[in-house]
Amino acid sequence: MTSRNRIPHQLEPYLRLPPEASLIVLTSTLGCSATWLTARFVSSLLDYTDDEGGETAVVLASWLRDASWWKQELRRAAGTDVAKSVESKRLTIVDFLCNDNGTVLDTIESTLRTAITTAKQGTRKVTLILENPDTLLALGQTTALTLSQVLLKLRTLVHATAVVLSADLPLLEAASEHAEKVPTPIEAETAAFAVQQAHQAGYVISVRELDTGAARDVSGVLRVTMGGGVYGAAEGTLAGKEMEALYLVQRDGNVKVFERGSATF
Amino acid sequence: MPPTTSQHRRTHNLLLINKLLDQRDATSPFTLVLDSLEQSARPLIAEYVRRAKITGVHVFFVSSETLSKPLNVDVFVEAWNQTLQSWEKSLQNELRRLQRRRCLIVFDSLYQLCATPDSNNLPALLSSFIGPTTSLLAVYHTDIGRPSARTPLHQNVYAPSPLTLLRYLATTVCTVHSLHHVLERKTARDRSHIEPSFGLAEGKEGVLQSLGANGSEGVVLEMEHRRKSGRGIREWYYMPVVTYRDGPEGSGAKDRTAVMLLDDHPLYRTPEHDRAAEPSEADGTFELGLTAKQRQDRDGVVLPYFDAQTGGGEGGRILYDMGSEDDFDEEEDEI
Repeated sequence: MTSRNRIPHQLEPYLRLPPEASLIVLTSTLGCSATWLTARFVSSLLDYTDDEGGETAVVLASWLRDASWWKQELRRAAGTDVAKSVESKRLTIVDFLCNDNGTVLDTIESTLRTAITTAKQGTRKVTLILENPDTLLALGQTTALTLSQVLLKLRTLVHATAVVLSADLPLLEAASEHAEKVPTPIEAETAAFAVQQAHQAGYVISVRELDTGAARDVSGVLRVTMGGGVYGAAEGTLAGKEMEALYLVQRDGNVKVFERGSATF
Repeated sequence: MPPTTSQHRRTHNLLLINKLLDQRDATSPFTLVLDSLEQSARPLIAEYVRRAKITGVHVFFVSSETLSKPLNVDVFVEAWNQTLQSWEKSLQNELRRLQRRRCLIVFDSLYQLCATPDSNNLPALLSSFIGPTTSLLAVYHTDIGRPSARTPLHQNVYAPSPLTLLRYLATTVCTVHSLHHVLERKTARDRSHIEPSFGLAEGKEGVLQSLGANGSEGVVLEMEHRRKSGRGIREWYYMPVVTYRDGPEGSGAKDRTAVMLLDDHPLYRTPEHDRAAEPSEADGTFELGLTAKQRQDRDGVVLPYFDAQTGGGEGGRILYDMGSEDDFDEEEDEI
C-alpha cells in the first residue's frame, strides 16, 4: 500500500507541506496519542514534490520515543520507506531519549543545527518536527522563554516547523484566566510554552478523548483550529479550514476519519 | 436605546477609533492590546501598521516571538536573538536619529519582557521609549499566565502582576474578541441561557482552542480609552480583517478598513432591537400619524352643521379652501 492511501483524505490539506516560515502545533493528551498523525505528516512531507522537482526533507526529533520505535511506526502506520529515506538523508531521526545530552539545551541546539544542515543539502525544503520538547520544561531543565528563543533560532534555518505538545489539563491550567491558586513553576512554564506556540501557529491540530468516555469504535476527537499565525501568512497559503471529526485507529495501523454521528464503515 | 444616543455614539466613537488607529495628534501614547488564543491581536496590529504606512509614520517592530518581518514594517528588531540591553540601545539610537519623525513602536508580546530576569522595571523601560512623536503599541497574551518567580521572593509576592501594571499605565486598552464567540454569547444571553465559554476557559482535557477562533472575516474590539481629563470611554467595535489575498501591498491598501460599532453589525443586531429603534407606526403599510401641517389644515375645515347653525347654510355643502398641495380636478371638484 502506498503511503498516500494511508492518509485519510479529510486530513490531506493539513498535512501538506506548510507555507514557508510557518509553525504547526499538534497537541495530544495522555489518553490520546498523536503519533499516528505525526507519522502521517512525515510521510506526506516526504512524498511531496513541487513543480520544479525540488526535494523535501524531514528532521524528526523526539524526547519521548527512541529512533527504532519511530522507524517502525513510520513503516507500519504510514508506509514510509524508512531505509531509503534515511539513506538519502531525506529523513533524519534525532533521538534525544537515548542521548545522554538530550536534556542539555545547548547540545540540543547544536545537534539539531547539524542535522538540519545535513538534511538541507543545499536546496531541500526541510521541515523540523519536534516531538514533545515540553519534556525539557517538565524536567526543569529550562524555561519557556529560553526554549521558545531556541526554537525561533532553529526555525530560521528550516522551511517550516511542527511541534508536538502535551495538552493535558494540569499542564494548561496555569494558562486559564480563572486559575485560582498560584501555579508551580512547571505548571506555569509548560502552559506558557504551549500557549505561546499556539499564538504563532498556523494550524493547531489537537487530538483528545471523547467527552463521553472510551468507545470501541472511536479512538478520539480530532480538531483543527486556526492559530494566531494564520493572519501572518502573507500569501494566505494555508489551504484548510477549521474542522472537527472523530477518528479510529485500527489494529493494522490504518486510520479512519469520520463526521460525528456518521457510521464508521 | 433611544435613537439619539446611538447616533451620538456612532459619530463620536467612530471618530475616536479612527483617530486612535491613525495615531493622530498623539491621542494615545501607549496602547495595550490584550489578546488570547481565541482571537489573536495580529489583524489589529496589521491595521495599525498599515495606516501608519499610509500616513508616513516610521514603524519599529520589536519581535519577541515573530519569526519574519511583517508587512509594511520599517525596522524589524529581533529581540529574541539578542540581549535586552543590546536591542534597547540600538532602538534608542534609531529613535534619536529620527527625532523629528513620528514613530510607532510595536511589541508583539510583552510576556517575554516581563519574564526576562533583567527586566525588573518594565514600566520604566516602556516609558523610556515614549516621546512627543513616539507612541507605543504593545500586545499582551492574557492566557499566557504570570511569569514564574525567578527574582527574590519578597519582590514577587507583593508586587502587582505585570498585566495589572500595564493596564494601569496604558492610555488605551483594546481587548480583541472572536466574532464567532461574541455572537454565540449574545445568542445565549438573548435566550437567557448561561453564556458558553471557549478554548482554555472551557477547562476540557486536550483543548487549546475552540472552533471559531481566529475567524477570517473580522475582529471584535473592546476599547477603553482614557482621556487626558481622566474620563474613560468604552465602546465595542467590529473591524473587518483585510486579507492580503485581495491584492498585494499598495493596491487597495490606501483605503481604510471601515470599522463599525458592534451594535451596527448585521449579525449582532437583533430583530427586537430594530423594532424598538423605529416608531411603532411602522408596522402598518400606511401612515397613521399626522404632521403639524395636516393637523392645522384639518382644523381649518368647516363642517356642514356648523355652517347651518350660523343661518347662511346652503344645504349640507362642505366648504373647503383649497391648499397649495391639493390637486384640483375639473371633472370631480366644483366650488
